Amino acid sequence: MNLSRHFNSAWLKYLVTVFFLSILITGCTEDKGKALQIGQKAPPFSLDLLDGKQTSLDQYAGKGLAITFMSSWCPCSKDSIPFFKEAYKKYKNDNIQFLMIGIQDARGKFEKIVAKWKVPFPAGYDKGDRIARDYGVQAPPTTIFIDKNGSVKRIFYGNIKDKEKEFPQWIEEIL
Amino acid sequence: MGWFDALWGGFSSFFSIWQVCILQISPFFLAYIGSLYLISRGQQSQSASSGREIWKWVAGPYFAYAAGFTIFYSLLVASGLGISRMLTYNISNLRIISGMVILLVSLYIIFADRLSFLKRSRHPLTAAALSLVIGVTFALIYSPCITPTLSDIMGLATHPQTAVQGWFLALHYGLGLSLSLGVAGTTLVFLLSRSRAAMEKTRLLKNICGIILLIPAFLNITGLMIQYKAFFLGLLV
Repeated sequence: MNLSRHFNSAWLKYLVTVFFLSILITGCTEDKGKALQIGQKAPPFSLDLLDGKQTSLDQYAGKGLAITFMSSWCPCSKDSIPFFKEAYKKYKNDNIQFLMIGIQDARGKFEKIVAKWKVPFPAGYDKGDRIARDYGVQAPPTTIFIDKNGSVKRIFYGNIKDKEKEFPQWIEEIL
Repeated sequence: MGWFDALWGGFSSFFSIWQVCILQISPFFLAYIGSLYLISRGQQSQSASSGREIWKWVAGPYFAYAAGFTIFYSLLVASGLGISRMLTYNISNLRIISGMVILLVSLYIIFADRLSFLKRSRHPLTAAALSLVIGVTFALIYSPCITPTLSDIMGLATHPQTAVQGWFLALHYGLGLSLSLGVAGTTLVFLLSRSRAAMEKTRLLKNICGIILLIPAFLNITGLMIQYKAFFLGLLV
């Protein structure tokens, strides 16, 4: 077997080399993707809500904020919704706000899921996943708890249903 | 959580409700591994090579795929590591590049037995090199929803203090995913090898596999992968 002959296939060498070089170059060109850390100030954002209004991080100054990033196609995102609804009902009179952001999804599908579940708090579609990128959110569902000073208090990756007991405590942390 | 829990978490997710998320890559992986087997069958009719030769065409490339996928998948999960943050921040561009590479590999599969310069490069080593690249592209285009095991891993992997530990567990989770894909791929190859009808139409099936692989290429180049997730995967949830 003549191994070198096969690796002398110019097209293969170019393909492998160009691919890994492009990962290296693309991956290293812009290092703005700092992972969001506990205690760090939450990155500012503005978001068009499904009801036509607009919201931004400034509007939540002085209040606790729980942001959940979700997708209509993700089973655990759907599982999480009832827990957010319940929490909203329980804490809406306290100084806590809830926001649902649709990521990695089609706008229409996200709108349908919000309507189907009758989500009672603001929800908006993150076009191009720009807010998710700024918050270092890679996959749904991810929930970020921001305290009244605008600092990140906690980040939870996954289904809130699996942390049913801890969830109310996490909300009370940002009260 | 230990490495075995992470490995099992990745492996078992394939056979659970989380398959919905893995459908982002699993049909395309099966089309790819199936096409390698079918290309090897084409070689076999020309050179009367043995069954062992065919496994060289499938097993070697599979391990290369698993290495590429596992390493890059774990790096993407471990966002407490600098390299992961850069990959994640530039993921949109990396997915476009991945789509282009998958497109070229699809064309290779379709034209491997038609163009003389591609015919000359048909070899298990070529297949292994392409599989390594395909493994990396699949890791880049795959954005799963977060399973309970992955939730615990990400909890560790996103903090700089525990990022290395989280990365180690993510590596095993990715390996578990790759193993489950390997089981599915082996089953497919076994079924193909036992099917007389399939063996009579190897060229047609190979071309169909190549065309199936064009789907993720097109979806990622055009940015329509979210539509695939929203409309196709959404039907199953």
